[in-house]
Amino acid sequence: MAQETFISYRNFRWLKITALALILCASVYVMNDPVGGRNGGTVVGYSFGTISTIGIVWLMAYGARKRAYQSSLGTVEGWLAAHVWLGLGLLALVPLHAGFSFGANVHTLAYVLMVITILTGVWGMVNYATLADRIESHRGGGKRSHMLEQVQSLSQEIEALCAGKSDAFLELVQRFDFNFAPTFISIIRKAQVPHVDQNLAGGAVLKVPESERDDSLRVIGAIDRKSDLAILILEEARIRTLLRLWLFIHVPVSVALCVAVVIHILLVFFFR
Amino acid sequence: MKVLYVQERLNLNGSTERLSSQFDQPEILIGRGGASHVILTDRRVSLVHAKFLQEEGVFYVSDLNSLSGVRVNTSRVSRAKLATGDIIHIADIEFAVDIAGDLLTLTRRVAAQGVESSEDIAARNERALQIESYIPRMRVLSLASALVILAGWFAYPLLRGQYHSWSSGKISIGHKVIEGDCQRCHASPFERVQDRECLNCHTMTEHAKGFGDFAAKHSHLSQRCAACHMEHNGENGLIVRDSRPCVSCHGRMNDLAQDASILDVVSFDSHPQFRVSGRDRDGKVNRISLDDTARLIDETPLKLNHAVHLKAGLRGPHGPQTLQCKACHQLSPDKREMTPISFEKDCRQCHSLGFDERLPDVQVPHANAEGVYSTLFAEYAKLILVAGNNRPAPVPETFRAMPQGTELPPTKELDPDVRLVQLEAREAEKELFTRTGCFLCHNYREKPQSEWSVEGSRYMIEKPNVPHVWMPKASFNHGAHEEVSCESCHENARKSKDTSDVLLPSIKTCRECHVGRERTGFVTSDCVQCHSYHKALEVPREKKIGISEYIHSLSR
Repeated sequence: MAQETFISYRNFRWLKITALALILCASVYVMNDPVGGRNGGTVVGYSFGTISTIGIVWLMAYGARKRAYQSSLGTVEGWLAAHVWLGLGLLALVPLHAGFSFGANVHTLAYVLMVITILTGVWGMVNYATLADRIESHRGGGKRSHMLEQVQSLSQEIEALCAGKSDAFLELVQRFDFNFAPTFISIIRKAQVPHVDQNLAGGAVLKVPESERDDSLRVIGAIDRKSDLAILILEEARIRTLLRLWLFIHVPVSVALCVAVVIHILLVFFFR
Repeated sequence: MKVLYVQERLNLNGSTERLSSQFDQPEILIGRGGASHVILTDRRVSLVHAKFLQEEGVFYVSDLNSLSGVRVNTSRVSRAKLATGDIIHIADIEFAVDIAGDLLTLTRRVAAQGVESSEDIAARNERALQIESYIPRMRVLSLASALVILAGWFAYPLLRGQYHSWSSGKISIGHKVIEGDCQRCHASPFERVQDRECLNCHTMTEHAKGFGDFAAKHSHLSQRCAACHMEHNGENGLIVRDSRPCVSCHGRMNDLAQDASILDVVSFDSHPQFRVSGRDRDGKVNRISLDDTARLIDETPLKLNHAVHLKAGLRGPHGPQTLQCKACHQLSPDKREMTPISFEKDCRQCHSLGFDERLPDVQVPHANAEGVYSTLFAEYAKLILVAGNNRPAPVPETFRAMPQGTELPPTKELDPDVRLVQLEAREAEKELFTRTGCFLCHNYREKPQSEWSVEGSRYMIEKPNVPHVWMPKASFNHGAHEEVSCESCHENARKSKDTSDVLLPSIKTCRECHVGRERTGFVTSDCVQCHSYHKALEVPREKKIGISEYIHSLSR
């Protein structure tokens, strides 16, 4: 039996609740045929709007609940399951509220922001499901800071081996060595540090003067270890970044969504 | 050759530290190895990277097949002539060239920086691996995004008076000119649009006004203009084509008002038989069902025989002809209604109002009796008095036997010719009113002798008042039904011999194509298809204004 996650929490309890609620709302929507067509200003439209607003406020409250470690108001896992499934339900409920009418206005902007929030949430969820357990395996069990120190120590070793060496030796080092200076782009892009090609390295070593052969083999070994470490570090950083990056869109956009919803509600009641 | 090698180190405190070495050799070597004069500690620099030399007073730099090459300014060179101002690049190290006579000065500027330990570099890389190093803090991002929405979609529209982004939907074309003035309709905050805002520009007409009066007496009924005219729906919502607002009252008229003379209607499928409106002799409007054959009589005082008119080979002005319905009944230019029948347009072509063979080109007008007689008198006066040479036959016997009481002036005062004109005119008048012309269609009445006058007619025509619209509460678009023959709806026209026949189609005929509830192959018909709640806005001529004045009134 597969291990229960926040998605499958209590045998998909919140998926079932969301699906039932949506079926109920969709049935009401279909059965209700108001004069002038379905829109946010009908009784059903107002009702769905109210439910959606309460839903958004409750979904935002998850941010507070997950930090309230002393709270006994349900488990955080339960809240997260409800957060995910009810949030997805809003994707369908809000169009039912609006009667599927969209335009270039602040009202539709609120929906667009909600869609972005939910989709980034889905992205985050997928990232957690696919990447979270790969952090340890990519790190190979070592601490990142320790790995970084190792990279630095290898760089120094390479530097030391280069001292007073021939141009052929340095050409060899220049060919295979790299400067480890991670950037946001290098973290997001995959496999930007190549492994040392042993065949090429073997050929290059032969061009080095006889007296420097031993050091050239040492330096190739150091570069190889540095390269392996860099790949591990960057892959781990990439996973960690992906596990956090969605949140930097999800949370600010959800705050923007709240502001847009307040403007939306204010306007529709101000200009009734 | 003489070379001065200067290292300028810019310290963090802003001071400059200069270290210089001077060489006087035929060639000056630069490289990583100890054999070089100028030694650079960079992995990309060859042991002996390049050399400087002087030939005939000119300085050159020459690449010695180095690892990373030599660039002068931006170009990679193997040998290049040097001039003051050039910049030589070896790996990432820059040298500024200055030549003064036989002295070549190479200046290398180095920015001072603290020596970074391995731990520092590792820590820097550790920071570089964290997302927070590249993205502002979550709270800052959240606050910024909230401010962007607040500024862009609330403050900006509010301050600039640009409310497009607030609109919940497209404004209808009719209201486009006032789109920017939200308060013209939304007068009070948090209050629904009231009728008074509509009435500031529009005029309440007919049914709407009637409903208003009715609703005033029935407090539980309240209906706003905006309940049917839903703005911000583009062109779709402004006129709601939905029967339910109508049926909400018309489906239970008897419940709403005990004295309601209007029958309940729920849909076209249950619509009662059509009722025609006609005024009785007292002027009271009666609505008679087309099924009420006993009372359904066209009381128009005219003699019209449709059967005769539709016979084949009728005698026409240019020979035999067979009339079709449209010979008399024609569509209005907007192709919605039938134009009213008029004698001049539809009848005169065949029905001449001539009165004397001696005057073949003269007819009396299709006017009232007085007009007819005055024309007769004038025409005979021209014939007898003016023409003179075409004297008529002797005075007819009928005139000689004229009853007593005539108000003709004494014979002795009348010129015999004038008297003859009168006699001729009276004879023709009698012929027209009692046997030919007028008599064919109209009912006449002879005036009592007490009302006779010399100039006036002795007959009166009963005013026909031909009804143009039989069902004024509904509108029928004849143009939309052009594909259908007239007789398929007005089916008894060919058999009708009496004016009293009402030839309107029953609702059953309409139901051959129209239904109330949607059905495949049938036209779904709601109330608005035939009935209008109130007519389109009609601004009285005196209230019409110029464009600039109109625009100005909007801006107010």
